[in-house]
Order: sequence, then structure tokens, then C-alpha cells
Amino acid sequence: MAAASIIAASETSYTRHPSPSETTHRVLARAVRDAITQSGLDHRQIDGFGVCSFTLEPDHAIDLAWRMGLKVRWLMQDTNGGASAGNLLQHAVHAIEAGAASAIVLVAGDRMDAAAFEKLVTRYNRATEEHLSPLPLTGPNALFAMLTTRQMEERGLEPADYGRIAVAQRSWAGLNPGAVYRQPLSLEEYFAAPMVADPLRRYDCVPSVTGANAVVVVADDRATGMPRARVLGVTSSFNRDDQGGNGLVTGVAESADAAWQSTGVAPSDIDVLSVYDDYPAMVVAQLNDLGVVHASDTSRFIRERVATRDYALNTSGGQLSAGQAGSAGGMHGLVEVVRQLRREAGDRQAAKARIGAVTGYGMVLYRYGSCGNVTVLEAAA
Amino acid sequence: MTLTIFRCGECGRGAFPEPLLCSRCGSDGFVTASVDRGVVEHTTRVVNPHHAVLATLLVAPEVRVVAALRNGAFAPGETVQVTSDPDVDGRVAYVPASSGSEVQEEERT
Repeated sequence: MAAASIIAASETSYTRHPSPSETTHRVLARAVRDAITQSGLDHRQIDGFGVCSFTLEPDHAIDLAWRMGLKVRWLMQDTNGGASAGNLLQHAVHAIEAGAASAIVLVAGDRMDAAAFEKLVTRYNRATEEHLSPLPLTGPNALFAMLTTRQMEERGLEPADYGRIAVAQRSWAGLNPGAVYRQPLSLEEYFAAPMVADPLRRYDCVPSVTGANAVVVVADDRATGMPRARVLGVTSSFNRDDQGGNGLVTGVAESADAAWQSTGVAPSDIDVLSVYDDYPAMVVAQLNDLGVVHASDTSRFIRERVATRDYALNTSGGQLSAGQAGSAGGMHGLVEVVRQLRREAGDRQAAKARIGAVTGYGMVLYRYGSCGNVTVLEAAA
Repeated sequence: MTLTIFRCGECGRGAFPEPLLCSRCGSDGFVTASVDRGVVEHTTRVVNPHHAVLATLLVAPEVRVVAALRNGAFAPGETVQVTSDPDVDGRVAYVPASSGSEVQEEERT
């Protein structure tokens, strides 16, 4: 029996070019306000708060709680970027199960302009500062370019397979008024776009935006009758291979094994899926890790199920078209699946949306991401 | 100037960057090892800046590093000279070194 449910999911407007007066704190607060309003709860009923943001310094979670007038008995700050949503949610569910809180707001986001992005990627961690930033590269594009080449070699994929993912997600984005890139993209345009780091072209690389996402999590027994996403399970994996492998199997693989075992859900049961998509190669890796498609069958699956949008994958357009709002990257996918399960996804609503899954992936320590998680949700009312 | 990597003093497992505890045996005793060659596994040419070529190199069993390849074409499988000196000229793979390592002992590999 699930202990917790998500009863509200918000996303601020995403923008490539934030106004000079925009701040991380304000964009996080807007997402929190919108989520609380949507939940129907009173601000004073919120007794738990969790946040992840790369650009909150010198403040912390308690500063935000104070500035937003949240008086809580459970407080958490997560630092794991693209894996933060699953991580925050896992802890929030445990807090609700333990009685440490009963109504928790989780938020992630950043004001991510060019200067903030450069600071983030050059000082991401000590290994980056010492061993990557002195090299002629900015950010992780070159690392994921080499990972993509490895994946093509190992799994028999071609550049067009990755292009079809980017094109399909752009088609979904055309149905999402909140996506920053909504105009149709053809495979020809994908290939004609400038090379960034071979084999990655422009549309393989996630666009950085300013924005935030938030959810409200409550004990399931107080959400009876409300359209909600019941949390069936959240499983995580951290530092599975010490960065010594090839990066093609992520922490999502171990998380998925644990998730299917603990929830009784099978990969074939998933109706709507958000996988962390900083690059198309990571979409492929996680589809394989989840067991949605066997590695040897990936190309066919992309052509027949993803490119046709027959499979409800990254229906917001994903980060590749909707934008990556800093550390909100993982929560963007969670919000989209919750919207689908609550049948609030507008023109992109999946016909069947009973079981949803979300992956988190993040924290490139040196060569690839080190954190992975899987969230399994079920529509309830 | 060669590249310094790290070996567990107990079980011999290699690591880069410098670890705190050995991932295999948990020991905190390391020795350094100087590496002057690596095998190119994958490369990418980044358009910005300056069409630089980056590579993944295998420099010891289970130890892979990210390097900038300088002055020449390098094919996967090729063995290249490795340096952590940013100013060295020639056909080399540059891997930025660790700063402030407290590991004193050194062995050649």
C-alpha cells in the first residue's frame, strides 16, 4: 500500500534569457506558490520542505523556508542535480511514512544564464576544476560525445537513431505550450545543424534555461478522492562503478531492478515515461537500463515506437526541447508524468496513463553521471 | 613531465583522480605511479574552442583519463605519450595533474 501521493505539480515558465531582475530565489518561490495553490492546501499546512538548486549560495534550504514563510518540521537540501527529484522524493516518502511530516513541498530550479552556466560547469566539483576545466572544453559535451561513440559501437546504433529521438521530442514539445523550442524539427534539419563535438550536433545538446519545478507530496490517506500520482516506489543508486567503466550502464539499471521487484510493476506496464535526457544517448542508455527495450533491439524501438510517438516517452518534449532549468532537470520529468497521470497534459495527453515512471540521472564526477534513480507512480483518484 | 596516478598500497588497485579510500579494499594508503603512455579509446573534436581534440585514454588497468590530444591525428587503439605539463610541445596527450597531493612515495610504471 502506497504511503504517499503527489497531489500537485508545477512548472514556472522556462526562458533562455532571464530578465536582469530574475533570481533563483524568486523562480523557486513561484514554483512553490503555484504548487501549493494547485494542491488546495493552506500555506500553513505545509510541514516539510526540500530543495535542490545549483545557484542558491550563500543561502540554504532554511533561508528559503524563512523567506517563503514556511514553518516546517522536516527540511532537506539535496545537491544531486539531475538525480535530485528522485532523491528528494525518496526521502519525502520516508518522512511521511515515519510521521516526520504530512505535507511536503519539493522544489528544484535555477536562474541559469550564460555566466551561471559557465561557473557551474567549470567548478562543478573538485575533479572538474582540476582535471577537466584546464582542458579545451566547456561543460560535458565532449564527455557525452565520446560516450555516444562508445554506445554506437557497442549497441550498433547510427547517428540517425539519436536524431530520431531529438525529432520525436520536438514533436511532443509542439504540443506543450511550456516548451522553449516548439517549432517542428526534421531529421534533415537535425543533420544540417552545426556540429558541437562529434558526433553530437546542436540538437543533441540540452538547452540551458531559467526556471523551476515543484511538487506537493502528502500522506496518501489524506488525498482520497483527489486526482493524484500515488508513489509506488523510489529507488536509487550512487557511484555504481567509480567512473572506471564506459558509462553506458547507469545507476538507473540497479534502481530499476529494485523498483520492479519492490513495486510489482514491470517495464511493459509503463504507460508514460520520462527519462533524463541531457543527450539522446542517455535516453537510449536508460531505456535499456529500465528494461523497456533490450539493447540489441534499440534501433527498431526508436524507429517504430519513439519516432512515431506511439510510446509516450518524454511527452513534454523533454529537456532537449522544453529546456534544462539547472537542477530542475530531473523534476521536469516528474512534473510531466504527474500531469499525465492526473490527465492534465492537454493536447499531448496519453490515451492510457495509469502507470508512470520517471528516471533521474546526474552528477558527472569525471567522465559520466554517477547518480541514477527510478520513480514508479500510479494514477489514483 | 609524466602523469601521476595512484595505487592502493594494500591491493594495488589504480585510481585517478586521487582517491581518499580504495574502492576495492577500503585502505587509505596509496602510492603514486608515474605514467608516460596511454591507449586512445575514443576521441571527439570540439568545435569550440579551436577544434580541439579530446580523448579517453586507458593509462593503467581500470584507470581511464580525459586528455587533450595535441599536434597530430590519433586513432583509437594508438598508444600516445602522456604528460601533465601544460606547456610541453609535441605530439602528446595532456592530462591536467592533481594539485596538493599528500601521497609521497613514488614508483615507476
